[in-house]
Amino acid sequence: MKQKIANNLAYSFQPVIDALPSNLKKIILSVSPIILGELEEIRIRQGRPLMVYSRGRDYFLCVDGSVTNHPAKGYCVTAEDIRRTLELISNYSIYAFEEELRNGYITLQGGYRIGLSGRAVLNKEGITTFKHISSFNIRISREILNAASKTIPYVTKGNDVLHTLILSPPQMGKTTLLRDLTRQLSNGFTGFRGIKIGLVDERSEIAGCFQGIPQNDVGIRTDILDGCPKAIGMILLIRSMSPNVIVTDEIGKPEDIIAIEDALNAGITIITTAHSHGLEDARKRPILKSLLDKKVFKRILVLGNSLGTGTLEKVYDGFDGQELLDHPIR
Amino acid sequence: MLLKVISSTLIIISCTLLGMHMSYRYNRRIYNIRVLQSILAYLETEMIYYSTFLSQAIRNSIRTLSGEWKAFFVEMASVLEDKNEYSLADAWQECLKKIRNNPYIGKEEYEIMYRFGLQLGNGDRQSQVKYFELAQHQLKTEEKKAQQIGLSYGKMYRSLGILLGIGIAIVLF
Repeated sequence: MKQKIANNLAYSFQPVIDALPSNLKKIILSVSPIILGELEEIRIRQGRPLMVYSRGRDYFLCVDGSVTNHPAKGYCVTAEDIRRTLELISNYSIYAFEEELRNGYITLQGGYRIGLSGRAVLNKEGITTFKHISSFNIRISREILNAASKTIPYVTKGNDVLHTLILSPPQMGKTTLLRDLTRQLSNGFTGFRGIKIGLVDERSEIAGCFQGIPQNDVGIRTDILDGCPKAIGMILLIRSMSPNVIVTDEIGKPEDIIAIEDALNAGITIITTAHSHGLEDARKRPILKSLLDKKVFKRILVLGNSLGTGTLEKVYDGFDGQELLDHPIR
Repeated sequence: MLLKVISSTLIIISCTLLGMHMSYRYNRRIYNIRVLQSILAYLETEMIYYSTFLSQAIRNSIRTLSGEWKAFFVEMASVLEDKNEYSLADAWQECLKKIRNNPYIGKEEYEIMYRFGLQLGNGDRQSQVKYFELAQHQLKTEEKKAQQIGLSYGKMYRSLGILLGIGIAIVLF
C-alpha cells in the first residue's frame, strides 16, 4: 500500500525518478509518502549519505527507504551511483549539455533542475566545464497554478501592467510566483485582456524548457528566450518580438540595469525578481539601490514565509515607498 | 555421357558460386567499412552541431543507410532509450558482441568501434570531435587495407572456385 502511494506520488515527478540509477530509485520510492509528498530536494553526494529535503528539514535515507538521524546509518552514495546518475540525467549525452554544465546545472524534461558540483575546469574566459563531478542537487519544482492570484491586483492597473520588482530570500516561492504571474498576464483573466510577454529564462527555471518546449504553463502569449543571458535576452526580445512586458528572474549585474533602461526607453514594462530579505536589504546592494533610487519600479513586492512559503509580506509603492498591504497574505 | 556432362557443369557452377561467395565477403566488408564511415560522419554532425541526444542522433544517422552496422546501431539506440541498467560503455560492448562473428565485419574495425564506444558521449564537444577524427582515420586505413586484400584474395577465390570446379569435373570425367 505504502509502495503504491509512493509510486503515485513519484509519478508527479517521473522524469526525476527516471534519471536515477535503479538502486537510488528503489530507495526514493520506498520513502514515506508524507516525506515524498512534500519533497523539495534530493541530495546525492559521493561518499556521503543520500539525503532528501522535505517539510522544512533534511533526512538521511537508509537502504530500505526509512529515514534516520544518524548519517552513518544512511545509504552511502558510491562513485558508480554518481557516474550512472550523470549518464542518465544527460541522456548519455554530456556533450549536449556543455552550456548548462558551464553554469552548473542540467534541466530535465518537466523543467526539473539538477545542480551539480565538482572540480571546475577554467580557461581565460571562465569555467569551461566540470570534471570529477561529485554531487547533485535534484530540485523538485512544483508548478502552482493561481499562486499569483492575490498578487495580480497590485501589479496591474486596468489593462496596464506596472513595473514590478519581487524581492525574496531563496526558496520563498519567488520563481513560482513569477511563473504564475506570467501565465495569468499572458492568458488574461476577467477584466484583463492577455498581453504579449517576452520571457528571458536564463536558467530554464521559469518555463523549464526541455529541448525548446516549455514544460510549465507560462501562457499563450509568451515568447521564451531559454538559456539566454538576461541583458542580451531583453535587448533581443525588444528588437525581435515586440513584447508589452518583459519578465526575467534574479537581476543583479550591471549589464542588467542597462538592459532594463533600454526596455523602459522602448516603452516596455519590466517584471523581475532579486534575492533580498526586504526593501532595506535591497538598498544595501549597489545594483538594486541604483534601480530603486531611479524609481524605476512602480511596485515592489516582498515575499517571506510568515504564513508559509510564498507569503506576500509587503507591497510598496516604488515611487513614494508607501506600504500598500495591511497584513501579509498568502 | 549426358549425365556426366550435366553433373560436371553443375559442379563447375557450384564451385564458381562458392568462389564468388568467398570473394563477396571481401567486397561486403569494404562496403560495410564505408557505411560505418558515413554513419560516424552523420553521427558527428548530429552530436556536435545539433547537440542531439545520443539515441536520437544514432537513429537520425542510420535512417538512409543499410549494411551490417545498421543493425548494431538500431539496437544501441533502443538500449539507450530504455534507460536500463547498462552504462553507455557496457551497452556498447554488449551490442558489439552480437555482431562479433559476422563474416562481413573485420576484426580490425570491430576493435576500432570497441575503443570508440568507451569514449562516446562522455565528454565535451571538443573531445568528442577528436574521438570521431581518430576513428575515421583508423577506418580509412582499414578501408585501404581491406581494398588491397579484397583485390588479391577476392580475385584469388573467384579463380580458385572456377579452377576447383574444373578440376573436380576432370577427375570425375
